[in-house]
Amino acid sequence: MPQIKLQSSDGESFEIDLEVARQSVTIKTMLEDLGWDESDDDPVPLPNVNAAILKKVVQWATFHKDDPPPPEDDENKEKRTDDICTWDAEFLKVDQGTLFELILAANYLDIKGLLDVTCKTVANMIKGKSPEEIRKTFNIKNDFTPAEEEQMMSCNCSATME
Amino acid sequence: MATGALFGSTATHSSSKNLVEFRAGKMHMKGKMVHPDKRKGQVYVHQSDDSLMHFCWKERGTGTVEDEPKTDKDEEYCKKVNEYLNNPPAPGSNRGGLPGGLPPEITGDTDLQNILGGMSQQQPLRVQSSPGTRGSGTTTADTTSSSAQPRPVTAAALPSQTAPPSAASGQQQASGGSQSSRQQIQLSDLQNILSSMNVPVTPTRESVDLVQALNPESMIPILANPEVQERLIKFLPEGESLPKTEAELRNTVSSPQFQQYDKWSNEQRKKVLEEIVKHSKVKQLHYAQKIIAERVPTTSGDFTRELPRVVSLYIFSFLDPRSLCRCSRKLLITDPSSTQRPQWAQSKSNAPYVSFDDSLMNMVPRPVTSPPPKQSKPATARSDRDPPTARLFPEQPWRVPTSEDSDNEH
Repeated sequence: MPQIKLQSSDGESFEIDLEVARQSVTIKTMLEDLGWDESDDDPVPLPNVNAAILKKVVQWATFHKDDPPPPEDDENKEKRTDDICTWDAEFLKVDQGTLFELILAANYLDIKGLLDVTCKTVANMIKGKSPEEIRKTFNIKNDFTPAEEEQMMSCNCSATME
Repeated sequence: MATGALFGSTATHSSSKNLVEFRAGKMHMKGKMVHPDKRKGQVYVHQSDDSLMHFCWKERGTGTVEDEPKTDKDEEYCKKVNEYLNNPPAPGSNRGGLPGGLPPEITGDTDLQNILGGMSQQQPLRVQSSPGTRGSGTTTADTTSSSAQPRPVTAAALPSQTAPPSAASGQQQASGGSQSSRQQIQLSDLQNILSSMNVPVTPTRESVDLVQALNPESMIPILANPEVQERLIKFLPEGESLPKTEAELRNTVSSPQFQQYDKWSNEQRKKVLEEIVKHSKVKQLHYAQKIIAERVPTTSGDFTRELPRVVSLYIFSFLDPRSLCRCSRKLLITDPSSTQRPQWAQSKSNAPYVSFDDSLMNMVPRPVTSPPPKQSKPATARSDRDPPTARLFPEQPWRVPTSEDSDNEH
């Protein structure tokens, strides 16, 4: 099986199967545009992904290399967030910083499956939580000026009185 | 010789060039009889420019070094004595088997051997002269009977009173008062030498631990010296300022940072970290934030600030309307303690990031001005269903989720 080298932002190289790498639309397009063939052994630079995250992405992509391509989003269908497989749930038991970096990497590499599952994980952190819990979970800072605050408090009295 | 530098430096303190000198007569051995030489003389040890030690006798009256005809054996003996001086055995081990040990034929006199054996390194400096007792209690080095010739240089008349080092200066001071002026010069020389030896030399030669010797307390007075500061400042990293006053130095040197962090309790560490943060500049704190972020996993972060707008919106697209409403409300009902609004939030339209509230403004039902966004199908349905509520508060779109939510919960 042909191999391809990926180079992380901090200079670490990962040699992975071409099929695994092609799950990333970014890499797939790049290889097609450049006319890459197996004789090339130049690493593909990924300046937006560090080694730790790239390692996780490769791990995920290797596990999911035989997955069928994700279905197109149907805008009329409500999105589910409870369809995360056990392996993914275990894989994504990481701190929030890592999770957000995975989202960024999945977004940059255009790996829809990974982006979906990570975003669903974040969405699940919000679901079923009270506003206070949500604020706590994401350490939300209050961005409003006192004037805005006052305005909202006065407009929002019915909400606060619940 | 290892002690050359020490001797060289101490010799400069002395008005005389000799390391050690004392009055001593000498005797000649003729046959088996020892015959005193009546001339008054002086024995001295000096170091020549080649840093070799020389043991000499000169006549005091004329000041001339004895220059009598020498026999081969004399030369040999003198050479042996000088060699012994230049390659002294380890202190405390006077008996043979040492490379520089005296040959057997001139080690018969145990006094001499003890003295010479002990006369290593700094030891000759501690040899105290016994003025006024010349001749009495002196011993000759001429224990061999083979030569009857007078020796130009003899290892004679070394006094046996090698003072214990700790008592040496005291004894000198006590005896110094009763000396003739000429001898006082000699004694003061020795005192100079002794006082220039900072570390007290004990017979057992205890090793000095620099960690103990250079404790913070002893360093403070040294560091307070402007000259020392000037010399040390070159070794400090650029941009650092050396504390100038002694109080500052005392604080720095005795501050807990200089001691072992491991020994502190948790509370102490917290306190010190707080202090460090208080004293740091913003740039340093940013650096600290960076290195801390690398070590401490983020447990709670606002993804709407960390992720691009499109990704945040994508995450919200997975939420049901109820959750979206709660996200919206948690921003509307916030604690007023923090009031600083970030720069990017002031121009939301072209901000690369999306905050909870402005993204939700697009997603939750907004029946008044704009049609609800397509991402949230249920939200669209809701807005269609609830126009009357919305119209009641045309300027306050957040009113819609609020009333709906509370309806549901009550």
